[in-house]
Amino acid sequence: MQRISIESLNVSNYRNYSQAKCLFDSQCNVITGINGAGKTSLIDAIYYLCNGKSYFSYKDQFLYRHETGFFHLRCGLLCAESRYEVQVSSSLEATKKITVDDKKMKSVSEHLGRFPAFMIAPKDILIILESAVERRRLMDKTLSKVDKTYLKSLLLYNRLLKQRNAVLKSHRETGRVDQILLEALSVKMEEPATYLYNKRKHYLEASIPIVNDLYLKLSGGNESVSIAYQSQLSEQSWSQLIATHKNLDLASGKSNAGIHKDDMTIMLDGKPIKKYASQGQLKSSIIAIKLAQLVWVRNDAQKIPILLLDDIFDKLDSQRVYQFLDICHHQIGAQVFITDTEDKRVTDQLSDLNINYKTLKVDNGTIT
Amino acid sequence: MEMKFSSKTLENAVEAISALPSIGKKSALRLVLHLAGNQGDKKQRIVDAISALSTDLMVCKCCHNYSDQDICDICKDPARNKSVICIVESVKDVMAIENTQQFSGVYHVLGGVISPLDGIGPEELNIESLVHRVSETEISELIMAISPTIEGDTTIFYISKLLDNSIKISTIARGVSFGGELEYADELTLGRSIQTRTSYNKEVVS
Repeated sequence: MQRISIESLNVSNYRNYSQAKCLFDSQCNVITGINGAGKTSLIDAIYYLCNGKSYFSYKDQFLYRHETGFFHLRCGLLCAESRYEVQVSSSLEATKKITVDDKKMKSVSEHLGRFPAFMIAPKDILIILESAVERRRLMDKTLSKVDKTYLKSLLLYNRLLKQRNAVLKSHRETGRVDQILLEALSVKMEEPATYLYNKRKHYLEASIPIVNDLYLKLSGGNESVSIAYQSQLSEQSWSQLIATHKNLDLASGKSNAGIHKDDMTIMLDGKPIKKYASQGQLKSSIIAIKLAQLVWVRNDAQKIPILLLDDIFDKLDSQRVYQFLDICHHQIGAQVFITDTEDKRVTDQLSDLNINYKTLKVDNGTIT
Repeated sequence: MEMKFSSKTLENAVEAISALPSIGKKSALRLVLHLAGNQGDKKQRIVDAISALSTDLMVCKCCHNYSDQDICDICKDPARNKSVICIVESVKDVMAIENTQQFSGVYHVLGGVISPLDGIGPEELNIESLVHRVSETEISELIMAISPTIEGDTTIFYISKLLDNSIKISTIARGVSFGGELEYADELTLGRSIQTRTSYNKEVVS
């Protein structure tokens, strides 16, 4: 098992930092400061260096400090007792450049997965609350990381789906449709669809005990979380599915059946969590689900990722915080970065658990 | 960058040339200045050659390859095996396969692949004429020499659905390129070439 940890970080012009550098503890780092001080920016910089992109913004231009057109990040990183220097530069004029020990990475995907880092942030709650798109993205993200054929099948399926929808849409506009073409596209989709279905099913089934175990530890109670995979493919074969939806597809001008309609339902003691769970229970379950994702990648890649926790202890009682930190440290063994508006909530528990930690105070883009 | 021209004629010529694919304003200007400065009859030869494209160039009624007559030389050639048709996307592909000197059948140029997203349906391609051609001639084999892309695969599948089941259809082999090394082949290609491996025939090895 290769453990990843960050030793040092240099940031320039990233979000609200003009220039900053800091050293980290290899076990645990607590970053405190008032709202808007730059806590999240700091751990997002770490996320960027590890994954080649920001967790919070799709576009680099939103990450450049106000009225500058570039940023630069650099970190000293330890992976299985070897030291690496990772750098990222991005600017309005040039394309993004990622280097590891001065060797330029060809693409983000070449870099991705080498030094994994996981973020858990308040917005993750949307995975439970929002539409199925978020939940499919969670499955796709995890499975693409560990299975290249999965990503290829997903791209193939999506491309064929777009072509099929174009045929259906033109039927809606012109009233004419080439039945053989529609059939050809539907048949071609079967192979990637079945592959994705089987992988998703296996992943979710294998995740249930991990999520449950983590949730039990986190909640300290005796509720159980269950995850059920919902796919039209579990009731009908691909050809049946296409046949039964054909008329609807033609009438509506889009594909109404397929794995792009998949979802997962998350239940707490048999009740849909979306409707019945308290804020604390919601929080514990999303943390359990995200941690299970980390455990999955950890076991598959044989690497212990860095764990970045953005302001997630709000609404959790001290018992849950204690349990959570215990899991991160003793069960997963990751280097942990925690941001919180008050340090006591976290540091008391860390001391009780005998975990080494360093506190960094952030104020208006400076670190002390 | 805005170009300033001393002559409207020059500007029109640059405009026209730069409409060609992979030629930008600067390359167009270089070509136009070269032609403008040429004292011989180069300009006229080029003009004649280009205008002949719109007056003399024809498309073969049988295979849709470019030709100087109704029927192209390949389709007319009595030595060619008319019962084997190689289906390709474009005229460029015909030339590429002809250059190998490994094929003695005839061709059928589709003019592209099916991609409803880009507004290219089967009726935009020479598929109907292919079906007609197949029904009129004795066919022993159809060889699909179409790019192994998502749209190419869909096109092959579509054509095969359209035709009689009794017709033998094959696709060009997909796998590790000649002179290529295994370790550099991508997983999909390598996986497919293991799956569709060919039996080793000592007599064919050259």
